Amino acid sequence: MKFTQEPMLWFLLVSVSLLAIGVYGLLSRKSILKMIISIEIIVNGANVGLTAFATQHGADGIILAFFAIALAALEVAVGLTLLIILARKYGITFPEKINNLRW
Amino acid sequence: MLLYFTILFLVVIATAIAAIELTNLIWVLVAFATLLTEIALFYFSLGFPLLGAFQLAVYAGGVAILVLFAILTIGEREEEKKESKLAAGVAVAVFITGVIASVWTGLHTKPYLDISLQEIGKVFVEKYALLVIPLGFTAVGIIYGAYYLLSKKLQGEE
Repeated sequence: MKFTQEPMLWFLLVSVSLLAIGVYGLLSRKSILKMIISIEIIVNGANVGLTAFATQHGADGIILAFFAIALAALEVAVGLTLLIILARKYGITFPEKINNLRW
Repeated sequence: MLLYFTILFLVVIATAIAAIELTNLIWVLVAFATLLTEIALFYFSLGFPLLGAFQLAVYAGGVAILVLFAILTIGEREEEKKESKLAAGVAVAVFITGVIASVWTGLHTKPYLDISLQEIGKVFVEKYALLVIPLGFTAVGIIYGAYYLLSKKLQGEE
């Protein structure tokens, strides 16, 4: 099914809801994995907002969403790599115990 | 169409909350992958099939498998929970501010634009092609910086 005339406000509410859930998860969880997933939820909320605006203002929003997806995938790859290495070496997944990147 | 949107909306919100709140990491991954797939459905329904396909391939495919790989490597474990009153307060504040901003900007909806693939490609080449170069350098810098910092610190620990 294809949306044709739905109010843009609906999609912005989806975007805002995802943003709020992601912020809650980012601030309330101790597990790094949950924090990475929360960041991904925030990025997806932003992408839904960008595409909603693209239906009104042209193709720029879609291209920015493409860039955001590519960079978010990169960020997940780097974050999970760090998580796996640190968890293997120290057996921990909780961010307050990981302080070995401090100078 | 309102029913279709409502079902999509409820599934997206429910899976997002489940991905945050569940403690079994495998079920977290299932909820997360469902969320990413439903968001791809939003893109398809808005008339952007290329973006939906990209979302399915990169997010629901690649990122979900990466998270699964990480979960299977570090092992499943129950997580401790923080005191979350402050987080809930911040999230509610973000939500209320966002709703006000959404009502402010999204009340007047014009007819949807029919954006073809040719138009996306034209706008990309004319406006954003040069942006790919600094983004590529940024990506390489991030990966190399993470590798350098980690290897240096791990060597120092040994």
